[in-house]
Amino acid sequence: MKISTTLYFDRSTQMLGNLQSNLTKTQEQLSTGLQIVKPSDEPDKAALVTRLESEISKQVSYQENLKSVNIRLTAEETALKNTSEVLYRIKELSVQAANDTLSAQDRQSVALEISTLRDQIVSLANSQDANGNYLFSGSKATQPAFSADATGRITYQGDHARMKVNVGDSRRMNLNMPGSDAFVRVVRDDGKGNRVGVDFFQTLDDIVTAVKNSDRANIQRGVSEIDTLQTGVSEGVAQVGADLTVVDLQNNVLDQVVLRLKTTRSDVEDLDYTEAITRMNKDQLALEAAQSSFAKISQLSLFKYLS
Amino acid sequence: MSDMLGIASNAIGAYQRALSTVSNNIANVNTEGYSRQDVVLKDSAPKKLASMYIGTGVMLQNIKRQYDEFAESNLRNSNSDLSSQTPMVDYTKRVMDIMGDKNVGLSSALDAFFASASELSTDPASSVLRTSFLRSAEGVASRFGELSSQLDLVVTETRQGLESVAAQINTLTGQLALINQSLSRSSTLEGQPAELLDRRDLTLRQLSELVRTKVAFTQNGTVNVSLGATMTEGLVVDGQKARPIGVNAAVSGKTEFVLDPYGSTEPLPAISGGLMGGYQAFISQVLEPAHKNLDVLAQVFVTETNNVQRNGIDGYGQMGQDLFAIGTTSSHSANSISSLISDGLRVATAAQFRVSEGNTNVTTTRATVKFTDKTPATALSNSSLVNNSNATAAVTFKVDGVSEYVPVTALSAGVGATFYLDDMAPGQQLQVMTRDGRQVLGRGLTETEKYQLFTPLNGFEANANFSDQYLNKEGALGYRGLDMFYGAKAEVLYRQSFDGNGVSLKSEPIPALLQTNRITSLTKTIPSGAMQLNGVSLAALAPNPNSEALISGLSFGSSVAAPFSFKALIGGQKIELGNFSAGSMVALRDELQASLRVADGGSADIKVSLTNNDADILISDQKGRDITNLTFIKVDVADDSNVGSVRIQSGANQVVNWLNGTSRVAFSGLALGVGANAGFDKLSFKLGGVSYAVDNIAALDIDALAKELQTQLRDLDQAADIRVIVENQKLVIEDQAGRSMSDVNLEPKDKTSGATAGVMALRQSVTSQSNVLATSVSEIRASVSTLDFSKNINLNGQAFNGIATLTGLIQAINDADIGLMASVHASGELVIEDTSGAAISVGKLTGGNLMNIDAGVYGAQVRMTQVARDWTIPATSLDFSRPLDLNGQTVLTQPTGVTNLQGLIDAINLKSEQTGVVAFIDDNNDLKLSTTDIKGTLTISVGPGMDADGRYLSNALGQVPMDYDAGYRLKAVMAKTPTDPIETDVRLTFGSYLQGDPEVLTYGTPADLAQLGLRTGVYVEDGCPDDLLLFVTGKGSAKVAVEYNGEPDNMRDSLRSQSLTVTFTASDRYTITDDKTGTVLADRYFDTNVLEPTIDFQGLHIKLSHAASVGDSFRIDGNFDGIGNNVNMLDMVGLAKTPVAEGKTINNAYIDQINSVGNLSQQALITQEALQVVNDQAIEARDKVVGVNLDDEAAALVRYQQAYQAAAKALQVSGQLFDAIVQIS
Repeated sequence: MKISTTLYFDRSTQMLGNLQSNLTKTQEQLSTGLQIVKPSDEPDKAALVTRLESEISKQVSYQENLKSVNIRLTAEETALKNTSEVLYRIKELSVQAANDTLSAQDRQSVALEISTLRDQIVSLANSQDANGNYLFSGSKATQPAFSADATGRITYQGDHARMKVNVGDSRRMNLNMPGSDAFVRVVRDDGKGNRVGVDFFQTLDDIVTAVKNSDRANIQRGVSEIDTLQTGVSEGVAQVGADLTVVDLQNNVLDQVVLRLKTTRSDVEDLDYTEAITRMNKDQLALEAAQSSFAKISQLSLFKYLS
Repeated sequence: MSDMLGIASNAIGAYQRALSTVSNNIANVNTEGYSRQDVVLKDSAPKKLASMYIGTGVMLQNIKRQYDEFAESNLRNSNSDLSSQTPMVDYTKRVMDIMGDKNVGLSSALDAFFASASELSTDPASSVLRTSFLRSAEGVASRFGELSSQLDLVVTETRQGLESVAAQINTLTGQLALINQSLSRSSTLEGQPAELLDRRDLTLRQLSELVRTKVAFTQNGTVNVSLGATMTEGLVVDGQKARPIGVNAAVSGKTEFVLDPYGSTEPLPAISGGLMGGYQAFISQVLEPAHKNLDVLAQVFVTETNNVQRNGIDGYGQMGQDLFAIGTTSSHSANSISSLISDGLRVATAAQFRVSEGNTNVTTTRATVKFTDKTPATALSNSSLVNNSNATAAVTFKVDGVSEYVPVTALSAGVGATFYLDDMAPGQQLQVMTRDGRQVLGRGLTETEKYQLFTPLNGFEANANFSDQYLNKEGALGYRGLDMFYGAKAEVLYRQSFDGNGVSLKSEPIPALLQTNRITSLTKTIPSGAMQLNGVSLAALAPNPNSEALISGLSFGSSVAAPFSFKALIGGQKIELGNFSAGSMVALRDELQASLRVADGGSADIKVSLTNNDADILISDQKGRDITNLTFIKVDVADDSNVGSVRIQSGANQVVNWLNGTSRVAFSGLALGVGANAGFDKLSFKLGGVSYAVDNIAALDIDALAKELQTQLRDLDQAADIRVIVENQKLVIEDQAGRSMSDVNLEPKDKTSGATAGVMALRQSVTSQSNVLATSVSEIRASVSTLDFSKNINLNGQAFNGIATLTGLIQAINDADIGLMASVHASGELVIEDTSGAAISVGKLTGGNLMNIDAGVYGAQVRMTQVARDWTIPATSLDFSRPLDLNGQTVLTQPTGVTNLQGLIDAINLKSEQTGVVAFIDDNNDLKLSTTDIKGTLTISVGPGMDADGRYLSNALGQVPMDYDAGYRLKAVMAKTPTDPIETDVRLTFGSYLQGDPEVLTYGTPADLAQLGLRTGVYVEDGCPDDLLLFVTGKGSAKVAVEYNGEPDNMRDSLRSQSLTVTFTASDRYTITDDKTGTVLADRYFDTNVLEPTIDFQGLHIKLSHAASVGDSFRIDGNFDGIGNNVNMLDMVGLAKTPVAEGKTINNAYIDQINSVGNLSQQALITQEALQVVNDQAIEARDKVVGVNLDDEAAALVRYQQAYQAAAKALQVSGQLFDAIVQIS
C-alpha cells in the first residue's frame, strides 16, 4: 500500500508522542504510588474508591465513638466500684452498731463515720467525666445527679434518659447510666401495709439516724437494706463491665472491618510497582526502538541515490 | 524528416511539463490539502500514408488531480465522529476530577458531617463538639457551593467553546462561498484549477471537524453545505452565499444556535457530530444532569437535616430551628445553601419528650417515650358541617331505631368552636366527650348510651372508660380548668369608639346581654332545678295560660267620690269604662268585674279579684286574649288618689319574673302572744343594702300583721314591689324587685308574752345571686327607608289608614291609645314598642302593610343583662382620715372620726338613701360598694374634687375623684384574675332534678331553652387541648350548626407544653393525669398478660420494660433542659443510612452520580479509541489516492527524465539526418 511521505512522518511522531505520554503517566504513578492519581484516570473505579473512603470514614467514626464511650464507662466503673467499697464499710459499721456491746457513745462515733461515708458516696454519685459532664444525671449532664431538694433530702435530680450511641452499622450501645439505676431505691413497708419506695440516700440517712438513736430495729432494717443498695450498685458495676467488654469486642470488630476496607481500597487505588516498572521498561524499550527505527527509516529516500 | 523532428520536439515539450508536474508534487509534499497531480500522455493522431497509418508522436492530454470522492466524504464523516468525542472525553474527565476529588468532592464533606454528628452524639453537652458539628455542617454547605461553582466554570467554558466553534464554522463557510465564487468562472470541473479544488476540499474537511455536514457538489465543482440531514434545511453554504450561525438570544441559560441570527432567522436542525455536537452532547448528557442532580441532592440534604433538627430540642430547651436555608440568589440550589445556625447550643441534639420514673416507684420498670406526629386533622371530622352558625346552615342528625345516639363530629384539639342545637325533639341533648371517655358537656349518660357509644368506631380509645367527673363543671373543677359551657350564653362585648381624629380608642366593655327570641306562648312547665342561671338553680316555671294583669299600689283619695275611670285593650278590643263610684277595693273589684263582663259581651271569661292582702287587683282572661294598655285613670288629676302600677303577665313577663325571682323571708311558727304586751315591736331588714324598719306595729293577728306590714313597707319603699302575705300560716315578706334581703329581724314587744318570730327562712332572689337582671322588651322595628306610605297598617286591632308621612304615623300611633309608643331610633329604624311587655299584634291586610312586615302576634323578648353593680376597693388604698363625697352627698368630713373599715361602711350606709350607694365588707375584707338601683347602672361619683385652689383632694377611698360608671366597674371586675364567669357573663344552663316514682335524676333539656326562645349551644370557644367528640342523644331529629375558628393544634407542641403523669392505680389499670390542673385525662385498663405494656396517648408512645406495680408513676413532659440528651443527634447520624434520595442514602446518591459520570467518561474514551482507528483508516484511504510519496516522485522523475533525454536524442538524430541530407546536396 502506498503511504505518502507526510503521513509517514505524521504517524511516526504520533506514535512517539503516545509512547512518551504512557511513560509520563507511569512515571506519575510511580512517584505518587497510586494506580489512580486522578479520578478521571479510571473513571469506572472512582465511585468505588469514594465509596470505600466514605465507608472507612464511617468506621473510623465508630471507633472514635467507642473511645468516648470507653472513657465514660471507665469513669462510671471507677465511681461505682468505689461506691461499692464504701458501702461494704458502711455495712461493717452498721453490723458493728447493731452489736449490743456497743455503748451509745460508740454508736455516735459510728454514726459520724457512716455519715461521712454517705457524703463520700454523694460525691462519687456526682462524679464528672473529663468534659465536666455529671456521669449519673441522665441527659441533664450539666447538673449534679444527686443534690438536696427543698426539704434538704438528697434526691435524684437527673432524668431517666438512657442514651445509646452508634458503634457499628447495626450496633448501638449504652452511653450513660441514670443514677437511679445504680443508686437504687429500697422497697419498705410503711407500716400500713403499703409498699413504698425509699431513696438511696434516704436509706443511708435513716441508718445514720437509727445508729445515732441506738434504734436497734431500724439498724437491723438498715443492715438488710444496705444489701439491697449493694446489689443495686453491683448490678450497675456489672452492667458497666459488660458494656466495657462490648467496647473491646466492638473495637476489634471495627479494626478488622477497617483493615478489610483499607485493603480493598489499596487493591483498587494503590500502584502495583512490579507491574508499573515492567510497564515502564516496556514503554521505554518501545520508545527507544521507535526512535531508532524512525531515525533509520526516515533516512531512506530514493533521492539519495539520484545524483 | 520533419516528422521526426516534430515528434521529438513535441515529446520534449510533453516531458518537460510532466517533469514540472512531478517537481510540483515534490514541492508540495508537505502542503496541507494538496492532491497529487499526474500527467496524462496520449499518442497524437496518426497520419494516413497510403494504406497505413503512421504515428505522429505524443501529446500532453491533461494534468490530472488525484481525487476520490468517496474517500474524501468518508474522511469528512469520520472527522465529524471523532471530533465529537473530544469535548465529551476532555470535559467529562474534568467533571470526574471535580466530583471524585477528595478535596472538592461532596463525599468527604458528608463523611465529615456525619462523623462529627456521631461524635456529638457521644457527648451532646460538649459545646466544643457542638461547634465542630456546625463547622462540618458549614463544610457541607460550602462543599455543595464549591462543587456547583466548579461545574458552573465548566458550563462557562463549554459555552465559550461552543461559541468559538460557531465562529470558526462561520469563517469556513465564508471561505467556501468565496471558493464557490472562483469556481463559478469555469463551467466544467475539468476547467477548474486543481489548487482551488484542493482548497475547497480542505475547507470542507476542516468544517467536518467542527460539525457534521451534508455536502452537495455541482457540475463545475462548486459546493453547497448543509448542517441538516437534507439539503433543504440548515443550508450554511448556498452557492456563492454563506449563512452564518449564531447564538439564539431568545433562549437564556442555554446555548442554542440559529441560522442567520441577524437576517432571515431560521431554526437550526439538531446538530450532531463534530466539536459542536460533542459539546452539546456533553452539556445535555453529562453537565446538566450532574448539575441538576447536585441541586436535587442539595435540596434533599437540606430538607432532611432540617427535618431532623426541627424534631429535636436544642441546648436552650427550645425546638430546633432549621440548620440550612436555600437562598434564591442563584438558579442552582447547591450554590445557595447557607448555614442558619452559628450558636452551637442551637443544635438540636435532644429528644422532644422524656419520661421520668416517680421517685417512690416500687418497681424498677423503665419507660421510654416516642412521639409519632399525627397528620394535622381538619378542624371537624364531619365535612358536611360548614363554618356557619346560622340555623339555615345546620345539618340534621336523626336518632332512631335501636341506636340511642348519633355521632355529630369530632372537634380537633385546639380548634375553638361553638355548636348550636336547633329544632330538637324534646329530651334531645348534645353530648361532648373526650376520646378517653371524659364527658365534658351534656347530661349524664344512661347505661345503654354508654354501652352503645363506647366503641373505637365512634372515635373513642379502645380502652376508654366513662367519667362524668368533669361534666358541665366550670373553673378549677372543669376539665383541664377550661371554660367550656353548655346552654345559652352571652359574654361581655366590646364597643369600639373613636376620638375626634378617627383614631380608635381603647375598646369599652359593654355588659353581657342575652336576648331571647320572641316568646309568643309558654306551654310547657319547666321543673324546679331544670335550669340554672349563672349557677343559681331556678325554681319551676309554671306557665299561666290565662292572660293576667296585676294592678298594685292603687289607693283611694280623700276628696273625690268617683275617683277612677278605666281602659284596657283585651284581645284587640278596646274597652273604656266610665267613672267608678266604688270607694273600697272590694267594691271596686265587684264594679270592675261587672262592667268588664258587660263590655265583653256578657261572657264570664274575665275575672277580677283582689290579692296581696286585698291591696292589689288581678284581672285575668280565661280565654287567654292579650290584655294590654290597661290602666286606671284619675278623674280628678289633683286628687291624692293613686292609680298604682300595672303588671301584664305576658309570656315574656312570666319568664322575666321567673328569671329574676323574688327575695323572700318566711316566718314559720310565728306567734303573736297574749297579754298586754302581745305582738311585735319592730321589723327591720335590709333590701339591696338599704335599711327598712317598721315599728309601733299594732296588729295582733297574723293577717292583720301582714296587712299592716305591707302597707307600711310599701310606703317606705314608695313602690308596690314589696308584699307581705300569709302562706300556710307562715308570714312571708317578698320583694318582687328581687333586691337582696338581709339582716331581717322581727322583734316581739315582750318575749314573755309568748310572741315569737318563729323560724325564719330567707331566700334570695335569683337576680341578686346571679348578677343578671331580666327585663322584657316588646317591640317591632322597620327601617324608615322601607316604609311604604301607600299602604296601611293595623296594630293591636287599630287600623291606621291613609297616613302619608313618618311623623304622621308616629303621631297617629302615639295618639291611638293602644298601649304602643312609636319613635325613630338612632339606627334609622321605626320602633313601635309596648312598654308593659305585652305582645304586639299586626293585623293581616291584603297587599301587605306599611311597615312591610308579616302579619301576626309579635311576642315580647326577654333580655338578660349582666349587672355591674359592685365596685371593690382594696382595703390597702383606704385612708380613714380623709373626707368623702359620694354622688354629690357629703359622707365624711375632716376630722372623720372613722378609724376602721366598719366605721367607713356605716358612714356610707347612713347616706345610702341619698347616694344610692351601699357598702359591704367582701370576702377578702376589702370594701365593696354597690348601687341600690335595680339595673345596677347608677354611676358612683367619688368626691370631694378640687379645693378652692384647684388642687385635687384625696378622699377616704384613695381613688381619683371622678365618676365611676358601670363600664368602669365592669372593667374592674374583668381585670380580676381568675375571672369568675358569673361576674361577667350571662349563662343559662341545665340543671338536674328528681322526677317520677321511683325518683329518677332528670336533666333540663335544650327543648326547654328553645321554649324560652334561646338556642342551646356547646361553647368551646378557646378550644381544648384534646380532641372532643360530639353526639346527639335522645330519639328524634335535631339540627346542629357550628361556628369554629383556629387551626388544629400541632400535637407535638401542645403535648410538649403539657406534663402528663401515668399512674398505675390498680394491677390492671392506669390513669393519665394533666399535672397542671390535676385533671384525669384518661382512666384505662390494660392487658396484664403483655410483657412490655405500651401506652398510647395522642401520638405519644410509652413503652414499659415490664408491668409496673400499683402506685408507680411515670411523668411524660417536653424535654426542656436535657442538654446531654443525644436522641435527636442519633437521628441525624441515622440520616447517613436512611434512603432519602430516591431510595438511596445521600452519600450513595452522590457516589452513584460519580459512577454515572465515570461510565459516560469511560464510554466516551472507548468510543474515541474506536473512532480513531476508523479515522486513521479513512485518512490512509484518502492518502493512498492523493498523497505524495517522494520515492514515487523520484521514480517518476527518472522516468520522465529518461523519456525526455530519449526524445532529445531523437531530435538530435533528426538533426543529424537533416545535416546528412544537406551535405549530400
